Formats: sequence, C-alpha cells, structure tokens
Amino acid sequence: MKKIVLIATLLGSLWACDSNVDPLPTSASVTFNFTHLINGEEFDLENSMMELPTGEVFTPNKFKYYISNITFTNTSNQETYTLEDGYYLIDQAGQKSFSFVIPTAAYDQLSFYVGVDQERNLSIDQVGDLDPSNDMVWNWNTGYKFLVLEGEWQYGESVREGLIIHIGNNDPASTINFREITFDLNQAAIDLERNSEVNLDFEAELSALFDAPNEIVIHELENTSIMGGEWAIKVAENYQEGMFTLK
Amino acid sequence: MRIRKGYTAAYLLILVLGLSSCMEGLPEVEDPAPRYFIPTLAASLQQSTFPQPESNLLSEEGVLLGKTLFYDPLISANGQVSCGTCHSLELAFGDGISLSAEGVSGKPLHRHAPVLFNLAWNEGLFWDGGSRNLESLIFGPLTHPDEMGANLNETIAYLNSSGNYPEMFYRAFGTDSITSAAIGRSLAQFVRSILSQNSKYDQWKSGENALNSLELQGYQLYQEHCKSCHTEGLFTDLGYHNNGLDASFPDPMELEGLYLGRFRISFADSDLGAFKTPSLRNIAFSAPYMHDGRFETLDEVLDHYRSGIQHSHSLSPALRAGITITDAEKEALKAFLHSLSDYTFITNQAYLP
Repeated sequence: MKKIVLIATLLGSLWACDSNVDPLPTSASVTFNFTHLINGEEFDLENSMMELPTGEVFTPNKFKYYISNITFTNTSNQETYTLEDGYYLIDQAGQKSFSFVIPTAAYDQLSFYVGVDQERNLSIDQVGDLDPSNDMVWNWNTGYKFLVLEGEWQYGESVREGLIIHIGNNDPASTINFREITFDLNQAAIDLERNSEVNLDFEAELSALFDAPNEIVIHELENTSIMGGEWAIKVAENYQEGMFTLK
Repeated sequence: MRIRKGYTAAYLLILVLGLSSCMEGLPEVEDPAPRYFIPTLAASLQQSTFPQPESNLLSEEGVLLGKTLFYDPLISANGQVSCGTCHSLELAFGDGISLSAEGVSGKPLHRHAPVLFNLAWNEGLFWDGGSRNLESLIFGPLTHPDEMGANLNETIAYLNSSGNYPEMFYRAFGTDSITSAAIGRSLAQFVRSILSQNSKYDQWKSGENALNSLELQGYQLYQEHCKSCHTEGLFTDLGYHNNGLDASFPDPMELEGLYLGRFRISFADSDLGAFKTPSLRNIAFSAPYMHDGRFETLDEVLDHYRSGIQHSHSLSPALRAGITITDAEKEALKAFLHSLSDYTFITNQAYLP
C-alpha cells in the first residue's frame, strides 16, 4: 500500500512538472519537399524550352531520381540517426515529397544519397518505391537507375536530338555513382530538437547537371545517351556537387 | 508438485478433446503454409548444395504458380507471348532460332534465347551475366518492348482479376497482395527448379549405363580440349570468355554496349567480347549456337575452334592456338557431346502446363 502511495505521489509530481514547462517533443515528423528548376525557373515536362549553360535549347520529358540513406547528425557529439528502409522515388511527373518520423535531437547536419546502396541494388524483387514497375530498373543489368533525365535538345540550327541520361551503378568500384550530399541544418535554420513537425524544402537545379565541377557540352558529345562509364561519373559528380539546395 | 502437473495435463486434455468435438462439422481449414522442398541432385552434377536465396525458397506452391505464369501469354503486352514462346521444353527450353522475332513488337532480338536448366548455380544470367539472380532477371524478358513488353501494373491488374491467381499467390507467399516482386519470385522458383541430370553421361557416371568406345574416346578429347571452360558436372565454369568469335567490338549508341560482352557489366578490358560459357549438356537440342546463334551446327562450332579463332587482346588464353583435333576426333567428340542429351528432361511432364 505504501508503494502505491509513493508511486501516486511521484506521478503527481511529474504531472505538476509537465504543466509548468513545455517539454521538448521526443519525435518529429519530417517532410522533404522537392522543387525542380531550370535556370531558377520551375518547368513543365514536354512543353518547356530551356536554355542550358552551354547554349542548347532543351525540353525535358522525364526527370526522376532516388533519395535514400537519409542521416541526421549532431556534429558536436557525433550522435546520428539514419532512416531505415528509406528509399524514395522523386519524379517531376509524380511524387515530389515524402514524410517520416525521427527521434528529435540537436542535429545540425543532414545527408542523403542519390541512388540505391549496393546491398539493396543487388536484386530488384522489391516493393514500395523500389518496385520494378517504377520504370527505374535496368533491363539488361540488375539494379536501379539512380537518376534519369530524358529530353530533346537543339543547338543553333541543328536537328532536334534525344538526350538520355541514365545514371546508376555501384559496382565495380571505379564506376560508383551512388553519391552522398550533405546540408548544414543550422545554416538553413532547421531545428529538429524543439519542433514536432518540420518541413525541409529542397530545390534541384537541372542545369547543375551540366555545369560543375564538370562542364558537359551536350552538342559536343559523341554520344548523347549517357548510361555508364566516364560521362556517367561526371554527371554523378555534378549532382553531388551543386544540384540540390536546402532553402 | 508432481500431482499438480498431472492434474494440469489431464485438464488440458479434456479441454482439447472438448474443443475438437466442437470443431467437428466445421469446414476443414487447409494449412496455407507453402510446402518447401529441396530437389534431389544427381552426383554427376558435382554440386553438393542447391543454392537459393533465403528470401525465396522453393515451395511446391511457388513453383506451380511460376510454371502457370511461365506458360500464360496473357501476362504479355499483346496477350500472345509467354515465356514458353521462346523457351520450349523439347529444345531444352531454347527456341531453335538464332535471333527470335517472336516478341510482341515482332522485331528481332540481338541475342539468342538461352536454354534453361541447372540455373540455380549461375551467379550471373544473360549472356553477359548482367543479371545477378533469377528473381531480378525475370523482369528483363517480361518487360522488354521486343520480348513480352509487359506493363507490370497492367499485369498485376490482370492477375488480380483472373481465375485462380489470387489464391495461387496466397498459397505460394501467404499474402493475397500480388506484387511485381512476387511475380518475379514465383517465376524464379519455377526456373530454378528446372534440372537436367539424367543423360546417358549421368547414367554412365552412376553405373546404370555404359558409354561406347567412340563416346569414351570423345570423353577423353573433351577432357583434353574443352574441360577448362566447360567444367565437368554442370559442363560450364559459369565464367565469361572471349572465345574468338570476333576481332573487333563495335559500340553503336543505341545498343548500349551490346557487342562489348561482359565488358559492359564489369568494365574490365579482359572482358571485352566475353560471353558466358554455356553448358554442354543438351547441346544436341540447343542449336543454333553462341550468344547470337551464329552457328547452325555442332560441326560449325567445332570448326570455329579448330580454324576460325579471331584474335584480339581479350581472347581467352586457352584458345590462342585454337583446338587441334582431326576429323575422326571431331566425330568422337560429337558422339560424347550427344551422350549429354537428357531425354527424360525434355519430355518431363512436370515442366509442362
């Protein structure tokens, strides 16, 4: 009986504390929103004419990519949280946002990868966003395309031609284009310690795929179908470097 | 303590008996658990285990579903092409055509339809090994616009609304949700279950039959000239070699490195023009030969190795000097190769719908 009284007293005191101070939430619902731009402008697939950095007029008709291995880090104490089983397909013609729940903490850094890690890329009999019906699997090689951009380009008076960029490989080591992208959460004034609902708004600038660190001049390419090898690596370096911005 | 235990047991027994008498008259509920099995392997396959992924173990129900899908043309884009269209049991699940145009588009393919048997041991599928497992491979031919051209979402809608499929999926995988993954897994189970291990050679190895003197001479020649790539047992090393078919390897943009062979997967110079070593088993049924079906007969194949080798830097070292055999030896070798024909396999009703 004494014990019960003690517990009741303890609970009562906790309750009292509760009503005095606003507690920190233990978890936060995080939403990633992606906006796709060409030269800072939003665009529609099929009917936009955009000028690329090297002068080509480009009409995109497909743009999609995977985001995975999302990790939040508190760099001062190295506490990290990695989202398990988080593979999200972002599609200019479809899903451009997704949500998940994480434990709150004073994270100041966020990273994610474009693509699918080697372990999950070894087989495509998967469900959810990795379902092979999502038009993101290779049909002659096992694995996922990490990023797809397709469209038509024209340079000056040249004939309109197709541009096909299918990037996706993490084996052998020399061809890895599964790339990590890191963001400073403090700089973006994102507080994942005190908020229970957080929106992260990302912009992805397509022209950055052709820009830096590797300049890719479409009208000078021998082959405007980039699906592997050194040009795929260059594109991957570009999307790692400058495509995404956290607003 | 003992006494109490005894009472508890008796009490439980009464309860169970009571329950079972209550259940009489109710419809019988069948156990939906898949019946898993591991195929029996002939010693002459020289394999100690039957490899299969933990996530997709063979079951009677999974194999039956896979077989039903294998022969169902309605899962293709135009409702007319099934896996069986290009993989016929009587041809060791090959098609007898160099480059088939039987797909939904009617356009000829760029590679020869492979035979299907003893695939559980393959770590790479397709002629260049690009596909890593049967579960993933299935989606290649199923969705390729020049093969079955299936839109997986439409295929799933068809399966959901048709006949016995929902129940078959439930029995095979314990869920009535039909997914692309489950389609791939059941087809993979059927294909993985296809075994050929009862040729005259196998019967000779197990002591049930004898090879004649010509076949035995051919066996010696095989050991001398072929065994390094066509390893005895499965009669393939499951590896990739440039066997001197071509001296150069063009790379037209629209074909995505098709002529580069294994190189387009491994990016290794030594794999330029290299293709997977096919099994010699059932070779008498599987003409035409090579990854593009360029040779119509076994004579043409053997003549290629005798005098047709094309040299390039990635040519398999074992073939630099070709294979030196006389005409008489060629006949003996062919006699041995025919002893690898498995007639019980190509007439096995279990592999037919």
